[in-house]
Amino acid sequence: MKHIFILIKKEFIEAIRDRSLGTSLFSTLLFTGIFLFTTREKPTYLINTFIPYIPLIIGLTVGFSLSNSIVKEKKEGIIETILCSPIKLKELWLGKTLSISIISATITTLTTHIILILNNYEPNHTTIFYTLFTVPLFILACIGLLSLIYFYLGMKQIQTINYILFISIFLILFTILKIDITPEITWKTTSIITSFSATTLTITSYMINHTNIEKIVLTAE
Amino acid sequence: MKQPVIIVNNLVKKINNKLILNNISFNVERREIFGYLGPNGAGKTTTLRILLGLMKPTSGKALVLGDDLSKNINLRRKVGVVLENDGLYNKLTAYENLDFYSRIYGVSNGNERNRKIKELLDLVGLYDEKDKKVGYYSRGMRRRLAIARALIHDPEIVFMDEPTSGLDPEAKITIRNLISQLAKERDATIFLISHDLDEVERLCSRVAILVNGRIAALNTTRKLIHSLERKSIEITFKNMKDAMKAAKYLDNKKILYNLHGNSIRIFYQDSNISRILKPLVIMGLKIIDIKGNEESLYNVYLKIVRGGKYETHIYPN
Repeated sequence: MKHIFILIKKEFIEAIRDRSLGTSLFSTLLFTGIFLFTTREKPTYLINTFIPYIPLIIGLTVGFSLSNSIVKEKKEGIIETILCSPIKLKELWLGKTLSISIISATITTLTTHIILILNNYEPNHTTIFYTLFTVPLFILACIGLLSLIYFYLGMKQIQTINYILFISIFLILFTILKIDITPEITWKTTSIITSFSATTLTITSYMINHTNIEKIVLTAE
Repeated sequence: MKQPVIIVNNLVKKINNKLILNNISFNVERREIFGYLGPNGAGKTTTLRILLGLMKPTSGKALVLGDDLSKNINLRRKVGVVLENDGLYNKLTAYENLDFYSRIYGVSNGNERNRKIKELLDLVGLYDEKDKKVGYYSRGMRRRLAIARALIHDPEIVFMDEPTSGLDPEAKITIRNLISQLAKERDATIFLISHDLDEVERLCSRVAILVNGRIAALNTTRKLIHSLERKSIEITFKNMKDAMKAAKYLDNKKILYNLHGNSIRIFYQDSNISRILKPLVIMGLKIIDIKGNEESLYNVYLKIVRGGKYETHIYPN
């Protein structure tokens, strides 16, 4: 547990100094601005249709951008060096995943609430649960899975898988959200996404326990 | 009797059905600087990764301080590493890098940590640059910082993979002095992988040479150099014609030589070089220069690596 906190602290310092955080913040602000500008005269029900998607899109975009640091560290031999220390692979994975997810979830929650407030959207219990629990859990599950994939794959494969994974997650999301056609955040949507995220996180966590370190070292070359 | 701190016994490693290490065995004793040499692809880094617990052997044993590092994670607190890549965080300063690793290695006391970081930054000559981000460091500075990082927890063994590669001569000397100082002042055992044979010859008490995944030679550096008991002499003739005549004579006498233009390097085993030189002078060949050469680790290495007959060069421990 102590190692995880040390890692998270280090990740935060690095993230603040990293250009990708600035880029993510700029993209999010741009997205928010465009969204608010283009929807200012649209009927409320139409805006509400987008509300479930917005935090997920922002969270994933920021998370994908920040998780690039894992690929960089793998390529530069930092992961190999740190795996020679008393840190366990699971601690390394958790430290990375948590720090990236915390930053992404914070940016997402703030942006989503700004959009909701500026659109005079009155949040109910479901919306609050959705934005404060379901969305961060979804981000955590996706970043966790992405980290695992980055650990396993070679540099060239990672470039290809980035696009495939990004599209796949959006397709899954789209399918889940289409099950419930009500143009609002409902308990049904919330529970489906929460269950999907919890299952993904459990499977990823199990797989990390059975990951062969040799694979990580060899695919970094 | 000295207790080995590294034991490699009948180690075999296959990756994708390709044999990388073929039944290698060696021991490294406490406070020794052990050189591990070999051409690219010989299996040096694979051996290191197995020792560090990053890879599992196909068969055989690789023990560090009596245990397998892949299973005994706590034992890693006694081991320091300087891998081929520095493994440093570019966005963090030198101080922050050392602070992070010291916490990971369990140097929990704040004052102790600060004292150690200061001491090590002083040792590697980077104290004045401690607040500079590592991304702005030169290659030499990064290597020095990587060495400081490897020592942050006072390890008993330090594994170094090409610590001076890509450095300018001055930086190389600094790192070499640092390694030598480590062994003497800190009682550390050093496992050194290097391509710089001069460096290995100066630093290492014992050397293993790995060729095609097998230990081709293993002995003290001095014994290895003298084991071939062969010296060489380079004779430069006035013209190529004379060099060719000399080569023909040497062929007849079954004396080993290398011909380069109008120069011949003659390898001889006894001390009486005049037996070889006298006939060449009598033959009327015009010699313009003679240079004597003692064997160096470089020559021994080249002979072993290029010779390929590694079975003939295995020396007992």
